[in-house]
Amino acid sequence: MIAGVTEYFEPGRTVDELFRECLDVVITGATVTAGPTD
Amino acid sequence: MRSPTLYWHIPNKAALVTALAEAILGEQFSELPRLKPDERRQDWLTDIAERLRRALLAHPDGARILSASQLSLTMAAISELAMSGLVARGVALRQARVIVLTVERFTVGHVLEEQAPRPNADDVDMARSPSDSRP
Repeated sequence: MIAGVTEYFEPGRTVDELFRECLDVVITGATVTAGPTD
Repeated sequence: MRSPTLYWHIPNKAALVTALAEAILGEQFSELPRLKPDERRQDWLTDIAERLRRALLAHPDGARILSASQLSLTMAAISELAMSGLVARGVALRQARVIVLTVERFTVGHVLEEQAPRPNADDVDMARSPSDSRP
């Protein structure tokens, strides 16, 4: 876990990127049950 | 402006919070982003969520204000737009509702964390393991 935290907060990574990556997971997961994506 | 003066114009605190939420959202959603025929629905939902985040981050406690507002017409319009866009792409209405709710709740929750007060460095003992505080 510590390795994951360290990797995530390496220099240059931003909260904007964190949000976008998490959002991708949320939207991809949500749309999986809604059928094929566009 | 003093509190009695404010309530001369706005009937109660709930209406005040809702008015604040409307103002916060209005900056990013004065024009609602329609789903274009050649646009992937995932990209479109991402754009809506990123606009929502930008709107909330632009104001102190923006996420707290929005989550406390009871009837933001702009938020309702955003939800309606997102759902109708998904339905137009063949997603069942019930499923569209769940997807939109999930994206909205994630976005507001994310910004709530971003806007939460930072812990006082003096109160954090970095030498202690998190497991030390477990019962």
